[in-house]
Amino acid sequence: MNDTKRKQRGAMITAAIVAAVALAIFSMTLILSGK
Amino acid sequence: MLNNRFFSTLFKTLILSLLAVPGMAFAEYGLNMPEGVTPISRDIYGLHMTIFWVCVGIAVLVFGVMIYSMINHRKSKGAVASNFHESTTVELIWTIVPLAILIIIAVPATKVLIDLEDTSKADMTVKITGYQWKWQYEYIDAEGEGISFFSNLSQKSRDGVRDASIRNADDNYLQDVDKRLVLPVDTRVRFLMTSNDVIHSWWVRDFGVKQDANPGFINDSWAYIEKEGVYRGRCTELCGKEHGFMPVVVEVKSKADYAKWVADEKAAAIAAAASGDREWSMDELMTQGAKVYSTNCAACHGVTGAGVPGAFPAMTGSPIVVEPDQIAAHIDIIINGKSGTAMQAFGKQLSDSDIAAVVTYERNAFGNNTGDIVQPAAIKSAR
Amino acid sequence: MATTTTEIEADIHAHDDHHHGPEPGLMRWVKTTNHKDIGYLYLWFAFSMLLIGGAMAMVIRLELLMPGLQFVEPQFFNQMTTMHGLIMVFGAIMPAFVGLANIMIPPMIGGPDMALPRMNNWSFWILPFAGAMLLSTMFMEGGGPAFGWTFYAPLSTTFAPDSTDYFIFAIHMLGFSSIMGAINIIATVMNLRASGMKLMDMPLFVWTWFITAFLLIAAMPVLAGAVTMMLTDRNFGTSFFDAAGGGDPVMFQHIFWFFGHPEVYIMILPAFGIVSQIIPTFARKPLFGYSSMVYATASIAILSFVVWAHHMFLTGMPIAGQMYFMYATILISVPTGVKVFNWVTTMWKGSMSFEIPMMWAVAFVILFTIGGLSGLMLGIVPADIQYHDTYFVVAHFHYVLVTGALFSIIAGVFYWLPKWCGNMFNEKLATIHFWWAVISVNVLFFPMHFLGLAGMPRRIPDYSLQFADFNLIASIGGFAFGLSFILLAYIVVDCIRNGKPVKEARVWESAKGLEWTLPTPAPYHTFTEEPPRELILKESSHTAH
Repeated sequence: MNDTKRKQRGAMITAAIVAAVALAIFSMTLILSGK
Repeated sequence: MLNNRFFSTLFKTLILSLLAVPGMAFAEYGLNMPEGVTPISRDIYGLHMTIFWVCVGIAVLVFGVMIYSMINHRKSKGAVASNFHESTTVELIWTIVPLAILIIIAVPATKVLIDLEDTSKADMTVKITGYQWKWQYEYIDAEGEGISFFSNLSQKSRDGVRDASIRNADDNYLQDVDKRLVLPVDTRVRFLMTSNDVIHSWWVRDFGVKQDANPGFINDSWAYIEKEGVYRGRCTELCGKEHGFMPVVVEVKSKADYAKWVADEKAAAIAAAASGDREWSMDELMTQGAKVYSTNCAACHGVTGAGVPGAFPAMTGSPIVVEPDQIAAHIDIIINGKSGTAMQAFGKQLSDSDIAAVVTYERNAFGNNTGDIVQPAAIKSAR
Repeated sequence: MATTTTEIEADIHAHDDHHHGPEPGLMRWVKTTNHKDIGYLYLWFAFSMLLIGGAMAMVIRLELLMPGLQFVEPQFFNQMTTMHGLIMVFGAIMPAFVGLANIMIPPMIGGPDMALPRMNNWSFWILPFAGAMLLSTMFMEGGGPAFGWTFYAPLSTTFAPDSTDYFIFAIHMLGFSSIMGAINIIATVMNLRASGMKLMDMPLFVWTWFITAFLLIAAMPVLAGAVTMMLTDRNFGTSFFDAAGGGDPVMFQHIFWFFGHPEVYIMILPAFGIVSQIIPTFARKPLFGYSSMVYATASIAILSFVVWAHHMFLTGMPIAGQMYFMYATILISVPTGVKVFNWVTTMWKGSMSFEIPMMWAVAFVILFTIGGLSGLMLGIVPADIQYHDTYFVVAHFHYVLVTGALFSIIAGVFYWLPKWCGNMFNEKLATIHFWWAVISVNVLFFPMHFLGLAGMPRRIPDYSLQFADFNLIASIGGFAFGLSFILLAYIVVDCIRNGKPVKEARVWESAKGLEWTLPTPAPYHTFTEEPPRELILKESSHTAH
């Protein structure tokens, strides 16, 4: 895999992880507030 | 000569002197917080001045070094740049020294905090309820137990909002009320704060007391007021349109004068309750009604009864106000409010005679002229 | 090696037929995935929002010029204060910093663009729609949001106008844009750095934005949660914030400020980064204490999550909470102080010249420090009893946000504008503008300290007579400060259209950083091949000149 493709793949993985974290924080806000 | 260096020095000097001014000036010049009339307010003042001088010291030091450097370490002056760019020692020093300063400040701050949070051993308690847009005071124990009233912005202030001649002649513009909270001097008073609608906040600067009034919850605070006098405060939490128009006024009397005031209040309360038992004349109803309307209704429905289209219905020509078969509905909406809107339930806030008066007033003023008369007894049976 | 736009484009044509440089006409701006284009879009959007939010501030200062109500009704005044705050925070300051990040981060790390260019385009284009929706609420029946930019419940739920649901939707869109922007920045810094650049080789602007991106990811979703709960309380029968239904209005404040406090650090850390780039350049000396600056920034970011309730000292918090939050809050002044000392030490024994960007950076250090010191005062709980919800707080946050964040953005624009457009701005006009802005901003905000101590609350359209003098002074300062932005606009546009061309890559003689190795103006695509490590080391700001 060439350099560019490796960087692009790394970027997608980073983006997916960070987006998942953001979504989790949003959900936790709602869940923890609803007791 | 009038180059960048001159201006930068001038500018920095001005900033420095501006910083020093608050320390030199006194509260009378409106530049600093006053010491106030309670032990807590004095403690707060002390903390404020301490942290203020610490901040001035830090600023003088940092800005002094900067100014020196800007004057002397200039390329135009021939300065040659050094190369140093790190020093763990120096970083440690300016981490630890500020930390030490903070600890030194935190100690007296903690002491005062513990003191001001301790509301126990009170001699009397007053319950304060924030409403849109007035305060209700209820004396729930001790001598004044049972006294309860609303405290609204004074009519004079209301008139002054759009009339400069009234306003400029009023030293207490926007800080005067129709009925003051009255407290005895040298008494440990506990305040309970809550709200009937949105979050308000009750503040009297001279007491060093401020606490949010949250709907559905009760907060508390206390003060031991050491000097008789009139003290003025304000609502300090945005609570809607008239947030700037619900001041706090506390009159602190000697214990003897306070006792007399309590007796007078209790007598007046009995008289007011009795006033609902008799028939009122049209003139009496209109006069009282105008006052009640101005204090409680004009904020939304307008001084001329024009309302605000799309937000607050007008009085003029409105069916519920002019139709003869709508009198009961008219009374009902004032007593019970209208849920889902800003129309509050005034039943608990206003007496039978007040409601009778304002209904009569609304039906006869603003060009309505229905000729309807509503007596206090009708309100009593409607509740 | 290709240096001009046409040579690079020839290179690209030779290697790859898909790219043809910028698309002609207006569609270029709609479809662009180029980080510089998108960055410029953000900056122009932010500037227009600054003018709109500023106009609202002028309405506020007009009404507060004298006691009495002369110009607006109280409810409209409340809409002005609310919208002014929302527009400045979400429409001006945040997008401006994102714009600077977009333009400068890729070249600073030797990368070709942002990691996710199409998402970058979407991040921007959400903003004009969100901004339009927010502004349109003022024309809806019942008026726009009038509950303060902090929109506490139940004023913002049960007692709020119908337009509030559109306000909520706008906030969701604004937050979504910020989150996508933050994802892009993290992905870019982690993946597109030139292989010769380690994390601790990165310029401080990149570090501060990198850390800010994590703050955004942690904070914006919490805001989204808060407004979602507002929406359900208003429309779907929940009672998160309604005591009658078993909820708690103070919980709203906890959730809001858990977002809100990191938010204000989101608005200042990039400022720290900009100033850390500018001062070494004009002091001709490396930034003092690079590693400390990185660690201090990280400490500030971490601490920013555990101090939120200092906005809530008077809500009825138990004493243990008040004590903890007081200590944690005043602690933040330690790493912040470290940064200020490091900037001053960078200047010390340098060889300084005071070009326009340096003047703005120095003004930032002095005036932001004043704002930070009033913040320290606010952190002392008993004293806060007298300061909370008064003009003392208004003074504090305007010092840190206007003379802090906004001034750093202006500094950054003057610093980098020649690199972007290839022309130098009119220095005489820019000097006049600097003094005009700096003097008027202090005339506007310094008296507010006194007003707060004298007892004037926030968010009131009319006031007692003893507050008249300082309000008059502040309003005059406000009008003067507002006018200064017209001059700023002229200076920037005049530079782009008629400025004297700059030929040097290194526009400022002692500037260091990969961006200063690029031609002036910078080509449309830059660093399509990564720079070698020798160049990275040579351009590093934290080794000797």
